Amino acid sequence: MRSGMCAYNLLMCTGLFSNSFLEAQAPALLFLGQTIVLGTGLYAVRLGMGRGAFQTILIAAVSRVSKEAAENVNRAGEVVLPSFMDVELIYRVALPLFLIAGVWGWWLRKTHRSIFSRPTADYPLELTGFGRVLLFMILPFELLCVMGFWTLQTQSGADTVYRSMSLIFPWGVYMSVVAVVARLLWHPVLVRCKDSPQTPLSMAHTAAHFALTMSILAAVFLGAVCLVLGVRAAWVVACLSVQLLLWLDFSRSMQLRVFLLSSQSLADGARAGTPQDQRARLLPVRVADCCVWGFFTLWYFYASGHVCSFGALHIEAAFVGFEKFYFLPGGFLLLLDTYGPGHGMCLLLLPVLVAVASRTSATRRAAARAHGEGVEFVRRVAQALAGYQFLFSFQFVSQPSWGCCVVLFQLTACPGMHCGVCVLCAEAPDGVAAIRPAVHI
Amino acid sequence: MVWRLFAPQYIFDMTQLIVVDVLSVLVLALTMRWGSYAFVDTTTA
Repeated sequence: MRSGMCAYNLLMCTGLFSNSFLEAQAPALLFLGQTIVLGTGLYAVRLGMGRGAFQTILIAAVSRVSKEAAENVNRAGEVVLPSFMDVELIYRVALPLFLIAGVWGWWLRKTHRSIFSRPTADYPLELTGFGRVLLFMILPFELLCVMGFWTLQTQSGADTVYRSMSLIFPWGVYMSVVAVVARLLWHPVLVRCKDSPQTPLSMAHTAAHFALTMSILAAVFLGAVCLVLGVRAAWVVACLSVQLLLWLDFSRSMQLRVFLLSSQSLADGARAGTPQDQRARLLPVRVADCCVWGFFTLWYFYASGHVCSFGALHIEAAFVGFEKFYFLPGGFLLLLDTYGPGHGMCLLLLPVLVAVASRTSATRRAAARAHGEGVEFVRRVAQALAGYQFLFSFQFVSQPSWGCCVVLFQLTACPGMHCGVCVLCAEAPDGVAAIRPAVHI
Repeated sequence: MVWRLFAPQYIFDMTQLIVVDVLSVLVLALTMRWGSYAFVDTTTA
C-alpha cells in the first residue's frame, strides 16, 4: 500500500507541473486511470489470469460509458421525464437502478459466501436477524424510494399534490442510513455462532466479515448519494458501482493468484517462494490499487457534474426531502452531493480493499502472529486511511503560501493517526485492548 | 496576492481534504469498534 501511495503522489506532482493537466484534469484523469487499469490487465495475463484481464477490459469499457453519462449530467435545462410506463422512463430510471441493485447484490452475495463457504463443522455460523435484513432488503428498499421520488418529482404533469407526496420517499432513505450507521456503531457484528451467540468469531472469518460489514455500509450510503445526485446522474452512479466492485473483485483474485503461485514455488523448493518474492510480485497490484482508487475518486467528482467553482454547486440537492432551505441539513446534503460519489464511496470501500488484500499476504501473517490478528488488521486499515488522506494534500503544492501548511499538517497528522491507533491497540485497558484472537478453527 | 488564497480551486481542495479527514476518522472509529467486538477474548473472562 505504501509504495502505491508514493507512486500516486509522484504522478500527481508531475501532473502539477503541466498546465494542461490542471486545465483539463477530468479527461486526463480518465485517460491515466484507463491506462493503469489496462496495464494491470496485461500483468494479469502474464500471471495467467484470463478472467482478470477480461475484468480490466470491462472496467475500462465502463469508464467510456461513464464519460458519456457525465456529459449527460452537465446538460442544461430542467429534467422532465415522460409519463409512466414509457420506454424512455425504463431506460433512464429503471435500468440504471436495476444495474446498481444487481451489481451490489452480486458483490454482497460473494462476500457473504466467502464467510459461509469455509469449513465450519464444529462452529456453525449464521447471520443475525438484522444482518439478514441489511444484506437482502435495505438497498432494494432505498432504490425503490429513489425511484418513487424521481418519478413523482419529474413527471411532466407534476402538480403540488405529487410534489408534497414525494417528500416521504427521501425520508425513507435518510432514516435507513441513520438506522444502519447507528446500529453498526452500537453493535457492528452481523454474524454469530448458531449454538452460542456470545462466542467471538474466529481469525479465519475476520477479514471476510469486515468486508461484508463495510460493503453493506457503502451500499446504504450509495442509496443516499444516488437520491441526492438526481435522475440525470443515475447512469453515473451505476458506472461507479460497477467499476469499484469489479476492481475489488479483480484485486482479490490477483492477490489470491500471487499467493498460490508463491506457495507453489515454495513447495517446489525454489527460492522464488520467499515472502520477499511474494511482496515483489504483489507490488504492481498494490501500486495499481492505490492509483486506481485515487483516479476513481477524482474522476467521479467530475463525472457527477461538479467542477471547482461555486456556480457549479448543485443547489437543488439541498432541497431533496425539504420544502425550504434549512442551513444544517441543506449544507450536509450539499456536501453529500459534492463529495459523496467520489470521495465518500472510495473512502468507505477502502477498508474493503484492505480486507480483501490482507487475506493472503505472508508478511501480514507474520505480523499478525507477532501482534495479534485484530491489532494488526486495525493498524492496516489505519495505515490505508492515513495514506488516502495524504493523496489529496499534494494538490496544494502549486500554492506555496498555505499549500506548505497543508502538506506539513498532513505530514504530521497522518502518521499521528497511525501511531495513535497503535498506542490505543497496545495499551488501552479495555475495549480495543481486548482485541486478541480468541478462537482458532 | 491575498485574493488567491480564496480562489475556488483551493477552497474546494481544502474542503475535500477536510471531508476526507473527517470521514476517514469515522471509518476508523467503526473499524476499531468492530475490531473490539470481533476479537474480544471472552474465554478468559
